[in-house]
Amino acid sequence: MRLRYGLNETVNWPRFATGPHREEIWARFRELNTRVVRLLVFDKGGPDPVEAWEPFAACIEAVRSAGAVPMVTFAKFGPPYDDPAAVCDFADRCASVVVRCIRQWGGAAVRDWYWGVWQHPNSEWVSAGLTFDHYRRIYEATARAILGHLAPFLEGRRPRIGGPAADGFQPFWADWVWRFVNEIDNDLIGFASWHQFGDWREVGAWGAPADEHIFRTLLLARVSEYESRARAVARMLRGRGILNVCGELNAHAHHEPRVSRAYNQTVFGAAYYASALIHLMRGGADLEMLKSGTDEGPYGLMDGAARTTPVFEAKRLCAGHICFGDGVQFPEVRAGQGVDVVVATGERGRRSVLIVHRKEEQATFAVDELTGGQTGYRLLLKIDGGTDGRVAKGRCDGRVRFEGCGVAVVTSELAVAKGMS
Amino acid sequence: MIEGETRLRLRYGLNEADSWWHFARGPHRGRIQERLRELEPDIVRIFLDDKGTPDPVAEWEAFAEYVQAVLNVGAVPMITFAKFRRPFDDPRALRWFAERCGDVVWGCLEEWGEAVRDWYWVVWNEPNSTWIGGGLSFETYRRVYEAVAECVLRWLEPVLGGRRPPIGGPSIEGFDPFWMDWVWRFINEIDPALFGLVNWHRYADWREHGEKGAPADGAAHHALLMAQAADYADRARDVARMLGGSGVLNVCGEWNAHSHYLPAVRARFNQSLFGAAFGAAVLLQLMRAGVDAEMLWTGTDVDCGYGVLDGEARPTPLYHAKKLCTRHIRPGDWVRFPTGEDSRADLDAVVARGEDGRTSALLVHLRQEKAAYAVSELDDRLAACRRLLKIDAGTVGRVVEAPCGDTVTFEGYGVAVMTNAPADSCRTGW
Repeated sequence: MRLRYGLNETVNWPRFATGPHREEIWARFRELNTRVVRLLVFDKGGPDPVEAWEPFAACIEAVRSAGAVPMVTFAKFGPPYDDPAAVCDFADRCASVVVRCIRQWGGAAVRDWYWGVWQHPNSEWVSAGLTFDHYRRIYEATARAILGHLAPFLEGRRPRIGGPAADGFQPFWADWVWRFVNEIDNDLIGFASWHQFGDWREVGAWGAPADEHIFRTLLLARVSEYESRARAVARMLRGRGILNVCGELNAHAHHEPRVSRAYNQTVFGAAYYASALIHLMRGGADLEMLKSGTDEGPYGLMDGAARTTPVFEAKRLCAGHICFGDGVQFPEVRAGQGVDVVVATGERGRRSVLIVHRKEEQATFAVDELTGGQTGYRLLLKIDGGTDGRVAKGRCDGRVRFEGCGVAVVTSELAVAKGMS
Repeated sequence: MIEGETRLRLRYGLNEADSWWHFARGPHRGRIQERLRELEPDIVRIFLDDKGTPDPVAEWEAFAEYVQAVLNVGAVPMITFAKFRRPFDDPRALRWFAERCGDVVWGCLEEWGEAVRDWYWVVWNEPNSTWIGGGLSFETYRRVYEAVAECVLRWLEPVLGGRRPPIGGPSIEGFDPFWMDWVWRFINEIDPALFGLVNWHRYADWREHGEKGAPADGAAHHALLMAQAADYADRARDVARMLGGSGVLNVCGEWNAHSHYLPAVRARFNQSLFGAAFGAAVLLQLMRAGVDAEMLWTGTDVDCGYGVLDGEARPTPLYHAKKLCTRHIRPGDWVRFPTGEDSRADLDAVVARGEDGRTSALLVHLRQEKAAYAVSELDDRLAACRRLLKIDAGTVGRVVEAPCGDTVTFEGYGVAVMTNAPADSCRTGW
């Protein structure tokens, strides 16, 4: 198991950093085994560490308090993108942030942080007129400027600088990742990132099914794209030592809660995300970052008061039982069942199975059939349409019954992760 | 069975579309058909109501020659009812189209008898593309599909003997970011009694060097395209997951490297040594993914920038590469991929074993640079292969035969076969 868990905190960062419920939020992030938290700077609404250091520093402290390291993404500057002075200025500003971080937190800590250059350079909405050639010049200047300050602390480690944070809805999104690793000096690259949401369309709009049930079923059927994309990127990165990062994901990208909340913050969203995690594991991704951690809008797995959604519970099931470094297997399940399965074997013989049911009807599965005959699971933890948005706990009798979409874990351990009801 | 071997289920095919006249009626049709027969295609996809092909009602004789040309190359036709030019939502127009399609099936049964039960029928071409298929909504397409399939089945059912209907769609254009919607909805929203195959299309790119964000450097653009050959397997597996072991055929009904809107541009990609290596690499990926049939776009074409033969039956490098593949890696063979599940970045290979003791390997060199590969690193069984057949920059666009050595060298992009089969197992020379 090489997938590390992460979260974006790009939307609701003030509450995450300094809000009245911040400590509850950090505790919840720790429950999710969150290794990396992605922040956006130099973007509208994001902190500006050059103009106002303290809010940014508070945000970094919050990430550390959550038990994670930050991925600081330097989002953008305005056009023209081919102005050498503007590129130089951007690189200098980014480097100055790194310098100040080193000064405040020390090189030994900061060398493990991640630094992203730009957000959605391939999107006309975000970066109109930016070509890959522009981006390459910006990336190289910025990465060199950052590396100049990080290098003394790296001690042979690869710098964790990366891009291009490609918007996965664009037709030639993979070009950006391929060109990123083939046209830029790999000594300047520690990770390659790409973003993927299930859809951006409202039901019935832009060719999407007009029937809500069909739309939802289709969305769940397309989760396998996370695996094919992760595999495609893994092929591009093979032998380079560069991390494969799914830097933003969720079921639905529409910015209006009335459209996307039902897909992102419900039991449906829980099943979608857990299934995406299994597919990312299968595809060879190194790091995933749900968009987002906290949010008053349609994306967060909790709000600014640390009130959680079913997606939080699903991630806790996954992160608590399928851990980085575990041995994992993906048993082939019978076609048409709408089930994804991963079996993890960890320390002291711990064996856990994450089961995701992607269909909206009732179904019962024999665990030994799903896992190729393995038995001996003692505890069942489950969230589905029948558990009222919470995780239900019980003894595993060898079968798992789902009331519609859902996520379950059966495990050989009797102890339950802290905080789980 | 040797560890890692699977049965090859891929059946080979071609499209014959815009240049159908040269294929079926032109002065060099005999030579064209002979060369295409050497590719051992099982299926040739042909078009009605598009691409300037004959009207099966007003020009039955020409249509029959088009079909007969397919039979002459040893294949069965996949007849694509490409589109109609009346309002898509007009029930009268739809009824007219569906009846017309049914009439074609009836006419074929009258002309060719019960052999027609082994033919394939496809409803519409690229309905999700405004340029090609008119940009239908799925709901409209579903109505068209169901009406046509019912009319086709009315005539076909009595000869099928209970088999799944050899009818399918949606022949989706693969650049559409939501291409999967169409396949999923086709499988899940149409009565399964009305289809037996799912058809999808894929080209690696449509952009010239430097166009719309493509690399301006030709070598970089070629390398980027070549890296996408493995995406064909990913896409095929996505479709296979949706089919879920239902027995419905997974068909890549149209593919090539490049589909630029100007023939001269796409010809540089498709009809070059790069195109040959890309095409062979795609075939290996489709084999890996368990695709049931592939249909290269296209067999014959005159100045279209796609075909493996021109109007005078002159072959392109991809013709030779495909022939190397189809003659030595045959449906039903036991195949193994020594380069792994995804291929290597520089080399892809398949080793095939026939029930007759034939062992052959197809090697594809995926890079522009020279390279040499030790045969022993690929598969021990290849030590028994005596013949090496190869096309690359050093063979001047032809297949050259030589004895096998310990290594296989490539001068840039290239395709090679090592085999223990005697030379006379091929019906004609290279």
